[in-house]
Amino acid sequence: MAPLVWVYAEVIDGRISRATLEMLSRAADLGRAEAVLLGPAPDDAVALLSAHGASTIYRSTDPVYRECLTLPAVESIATLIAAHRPSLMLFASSYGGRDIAAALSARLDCGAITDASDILFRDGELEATIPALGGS
Amino acid sequence: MNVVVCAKVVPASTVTNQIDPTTRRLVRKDVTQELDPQAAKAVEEGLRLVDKHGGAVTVVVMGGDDATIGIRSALAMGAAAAIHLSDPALAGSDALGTAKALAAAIRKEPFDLVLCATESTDSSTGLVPGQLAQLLGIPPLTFAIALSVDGGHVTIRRQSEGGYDVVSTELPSLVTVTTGINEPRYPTLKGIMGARKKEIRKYTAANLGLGPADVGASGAREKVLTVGRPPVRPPGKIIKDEGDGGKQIVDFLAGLKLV
Repeated sequence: MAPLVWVYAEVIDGRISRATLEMLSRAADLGRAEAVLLGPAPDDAVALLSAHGASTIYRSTDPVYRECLTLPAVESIATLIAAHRPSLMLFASSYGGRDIAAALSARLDCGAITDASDILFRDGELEATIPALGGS
Repeated sequence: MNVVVCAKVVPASTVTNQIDPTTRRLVRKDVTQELDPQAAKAVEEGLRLVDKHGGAVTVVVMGGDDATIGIRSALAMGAAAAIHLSDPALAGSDALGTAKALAAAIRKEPFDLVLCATESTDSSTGLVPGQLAQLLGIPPLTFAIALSVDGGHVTIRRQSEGGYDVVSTELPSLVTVTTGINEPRYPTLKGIMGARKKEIRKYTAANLGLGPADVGASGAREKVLTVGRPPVRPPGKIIKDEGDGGKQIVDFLAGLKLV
């Protein structure tokens, strides 16, 4: 069965970030792509995420996700993950994305890989390409 | 106020980093080590806070015996005490294993604020601070370019995609500091002499209540499969102008359908 891959949809400067759309396209190549969109977002956000491969979008328009940096998103995503069990969740290596990903890995006691430039599933495991030694 | 600074000791900036082909880990043995320059900024920020508000800075370092030199640097800068998490059972820990060990050690200390670098200079995952804050149950404020404490609150200027945001939270909390936040002080001779007498407490994984499922290579949730060099880019085309240089450039661009 195709793995379920989630993408954290990020709104930067009032727009869905380019990285979000790139991650969604990759997620749709890897398996079934779904997006999580928290906080106020532009009107076309859902259509845009859907056009880039999201088959389901979990959405809340509560402004708390914009007012507080990390914790409300971590709580909500942890609850959603427990209910729907995606194999993988992708975050942009942005200021907000990394904070939420790090907190979720501690909360869920699961692995985390940063700055991946490519990802694929092999025999049920995730393989990622990352810069060694921070790229130096 | 009690400030705990998480610091890393890394191969010195003068060393060319090598990866052991067998373990696929960074070679740290017999390599000159130093306090990570990023961590020195966190130590400096902690010292400025206690200079202003009173209290003490305690430095927590996880690393092998070679890390002592970096711990002494932090003590020479002015940290009051240090905790060294040193145990072969901790070697090979992933970011979450590291965060678990740091959290277990910090829970034994009174603290109002935990300071970390945004990311280490050597592995640069930037995951540990966010994981640590979650494990300690305190709010993380990350990417601080300026920091102040007032009453029971900490306020930072937080770097963002478009500039910076001003963000505040209640203490206790965890703050990560960026490279630009300060210029760390040089240790004075008096500081260097005094550092020798300061206490370095050592903990093992067992002291921290952590086992092979939590820390070390056995607890790591990720495994490095291969380490390779990035693909070499083909050399660029050099056009020498012998009167027809402009035409050659246009032809080249036309070949790429750019003009």
